Amino acid sequence: MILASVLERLKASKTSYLYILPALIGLLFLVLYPFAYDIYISFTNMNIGHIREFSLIGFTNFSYIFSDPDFIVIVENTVVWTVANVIPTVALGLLLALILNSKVRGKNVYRMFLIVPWAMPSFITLLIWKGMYDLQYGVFNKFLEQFGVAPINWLGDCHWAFPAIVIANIWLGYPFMMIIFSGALQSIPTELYEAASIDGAVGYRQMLHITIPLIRPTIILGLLLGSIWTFNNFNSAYLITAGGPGICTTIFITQAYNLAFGGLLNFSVAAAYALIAFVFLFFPGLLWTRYMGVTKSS
Amino acid sequence: MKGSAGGRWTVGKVVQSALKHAFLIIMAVISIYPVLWVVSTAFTPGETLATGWHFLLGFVPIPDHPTLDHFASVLNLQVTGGTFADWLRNSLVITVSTVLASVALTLPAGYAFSRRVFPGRGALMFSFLLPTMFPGVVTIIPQFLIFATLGLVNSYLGCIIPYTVGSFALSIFIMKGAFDSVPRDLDEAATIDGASEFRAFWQILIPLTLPSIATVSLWAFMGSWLDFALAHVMLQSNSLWTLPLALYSLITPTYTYYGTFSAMSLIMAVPVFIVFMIFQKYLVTGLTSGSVKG
Amino acid sequence: MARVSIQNVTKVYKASPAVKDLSLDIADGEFLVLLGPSGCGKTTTLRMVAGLERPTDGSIYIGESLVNDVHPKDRDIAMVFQSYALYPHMTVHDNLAFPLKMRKEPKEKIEEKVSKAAATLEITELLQRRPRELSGGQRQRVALGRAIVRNPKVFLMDEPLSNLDAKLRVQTRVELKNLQKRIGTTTIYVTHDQAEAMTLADRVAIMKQGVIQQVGPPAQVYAHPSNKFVAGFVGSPAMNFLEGVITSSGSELSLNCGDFSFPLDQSQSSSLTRLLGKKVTYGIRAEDVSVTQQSTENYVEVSVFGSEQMGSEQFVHGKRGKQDIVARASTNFRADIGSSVWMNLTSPNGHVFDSASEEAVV
Repeated sequence: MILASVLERLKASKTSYLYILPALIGLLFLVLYPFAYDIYISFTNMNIGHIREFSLIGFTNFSYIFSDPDFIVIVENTVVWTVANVIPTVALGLLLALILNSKVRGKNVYRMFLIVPWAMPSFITLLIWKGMYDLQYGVFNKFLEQFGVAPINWLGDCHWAFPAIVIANIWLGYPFMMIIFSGALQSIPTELYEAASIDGAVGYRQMLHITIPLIRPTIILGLLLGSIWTFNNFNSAYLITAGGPGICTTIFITQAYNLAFGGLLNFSVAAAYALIAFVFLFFPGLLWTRYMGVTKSS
Repeated sequence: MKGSAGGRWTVGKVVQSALKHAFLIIMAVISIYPVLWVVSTAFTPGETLATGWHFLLGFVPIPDHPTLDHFASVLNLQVTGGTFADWLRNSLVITVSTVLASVALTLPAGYAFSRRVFPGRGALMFSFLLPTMFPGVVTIIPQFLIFATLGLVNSYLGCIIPYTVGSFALSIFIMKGAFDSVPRDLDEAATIDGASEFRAFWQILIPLTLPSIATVSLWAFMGSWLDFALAHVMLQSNSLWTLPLALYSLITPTYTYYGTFSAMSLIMAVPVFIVFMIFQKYLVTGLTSGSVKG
Repeated sequence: MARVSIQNVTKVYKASPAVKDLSLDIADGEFLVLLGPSGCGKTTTLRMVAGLERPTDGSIYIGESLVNDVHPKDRDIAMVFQSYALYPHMTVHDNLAFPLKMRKEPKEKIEEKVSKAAATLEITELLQRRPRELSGGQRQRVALGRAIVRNPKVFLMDEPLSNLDAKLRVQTRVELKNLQKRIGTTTIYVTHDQAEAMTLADRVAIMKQGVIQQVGPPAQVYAHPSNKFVAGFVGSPAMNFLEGVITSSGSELSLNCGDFSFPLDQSQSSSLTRLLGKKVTYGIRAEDVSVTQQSTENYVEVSVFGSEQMGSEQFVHGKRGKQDIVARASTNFRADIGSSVWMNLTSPNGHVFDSASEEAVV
């Protein structure tokens, strides 16, 4: 009887499923299958020596990873990397969107400039950042020189390398957040601001009590997706410092890449790393999504 | 902020405005500074990064002998079997198709998630987030294998389909949020007026969610236009290259053609700006429906 | 409580004036309605009093203070918007408390005032709900609650009832009037619905294209409209207008409308003799036009083309040539379509308007 009613409900929702179907099929084939494949590989010994014939080797790859003393550092790096990036990027994007939503002249001109980091291929812009961080010729050190400050070894000093790549990545990220928030701010009716004006809320109080609560869902989505993307963001960490010096700026994905393509060509270990990264993201992602009601209906 | 009244210029207002502009100007400068280097390199003769310019104000690189040679080389770029014109065409076809496909698929999905209740709704929505949790680099190999089996390697579809699917994570949520913020009363009013669900969708929901549709289109465009990783694996004939592939071919193990590379990067950025300018109009319509709402 | 004085206020948007040299004094405790068709400038005027728009020229006083440069929040006013503008992310309680919270009132006082306002508007059970869970009528009361909770000097209302269904609108009208009388706050109310204006107003100001046409108590504006526009706008069904020339036969004056003519009431002769031979517009309300089946001298014959049964009375629509005339009759008057009936247009309540200036002569 329960089965019958479940089938009933499913049948009634036929068209809903239909609408999602094409997207779902895409998802199934291009994401879930590779995902499954990857899980499988991570339990094998597929590498340059065993490209076509490989065999299941159980948890060997995983124990290899976990027993690596560097592993803890890499996890730490990745988590710090994520938090240090997402919060400023979202905050900057939000601030810019709020300012551009207020009475300011030349909005369109400012916007064109502000999306430049996003519009240019990051490969070249990150190389430029690398150049700017150069110990001898980089612009940043030249700037410090003007003020009589000693040059900083951005790329060679562990303490500075991390902030260096974070700054570059924030530069890449805020335009996108700005765009998303600008869209959300459009949906707040002007009348609410007028009512708030009359009620006594102006300036930052209006922002605090009206604007920000109303775009809260967007902020949450920005934090969520931003975190997921940053966690797995390859370019910024790799191109500027290649994970160095040592493993100061190595995060999960750069390590995975190194293992897969950087000499050892050990795909199975890379796959194992990817799986671990996924698990790291899955549970917090699930909790966060449920708690914040991102998937709730209107 | 918006809507605050009392018009007269007070000291407070002037200071506020000055601060806003100051901040915006600083951010604008920060945004374009690295790109100035790209611009400078593009106009500097020679293919190295380190010489050929002097500094304006100490920090702005200006080429000593500006030249348009690099831009010309880009347009004349050729590899056996492929020319710049080919690659431009390929990129355009793939990107435009991706945008269309993405919009065509995320709109109904977003609609279903917003307006309909059905078993597994929450789970399905969450599952669209899963792809992002997976480091992209590693999924490329299995994706390649699938397409190899389907015989779609080295074809437009081999790129269009993955790019489209890649856009889902964000786009479905954006569209769901946009549809959420259109009050159901409007749907109901349309139904009473005799409109079928489809017509209500077309004539009411879509016009009111244009800013979000613009965002989704922009997103799909960006994901496709600048992608290197997937295209590199999927497109093997030189004639099928997309612009990013041509761009990165300028970096060989022995030598990097920085000048031409910079010029080409700039050329590739132009359509992005054009698209953004077009969409800007839609992104800021002031209609009562906007982007993401949970 | 305060008076509001609008002096020579003009508002121009991009070279087209929305409000032209408008002056109006509203007494303390008065319920003044700004009435007019869309685009007449009534909402603009209201918004200028609120401080949401600045006058291009002129002064606005609330109480004794000049408020032109005063921010809305410092004018001690409250506004009810047409769409209510309730904060969707706050509960009803927090919506009501918000203006008080912004003024940093102590918590106990806030609770006290919120409960009081909620009780007055009978929305106490709704305090923990959110706006999207409420019906239109409930939302409207919350909007009102937010306005009264601060006990401001002036209430400003922008067509607050227009989103309600007809029955609820009528009901709420009466409640609103009672509420205002009880609280005694000066109120400026904007509407395009003349019936609403008539019911609510102590005085009504009719506006057209940025200019006040007439101000006065509803009864006065109804009985003595100062021009054709006011005469035609106020009252339902709309006043009948007939163009004609004033002629005389002996001591009697008549209106010659070309196809037909009818005598004018004796009481009007003295004022109208100077207009002898001139074209005028004659206005007469349906309730002042009697109609009969009998052919009567000095009545005008019309052909019936429709009738409206209102339940307690009937409005008969007749046509003579190109002229339509509406008359009020009892419900059992037979008005068959196409039949001929005779309408009496002679009445001491008739109005005569100058053809050029459209101002009332009688």
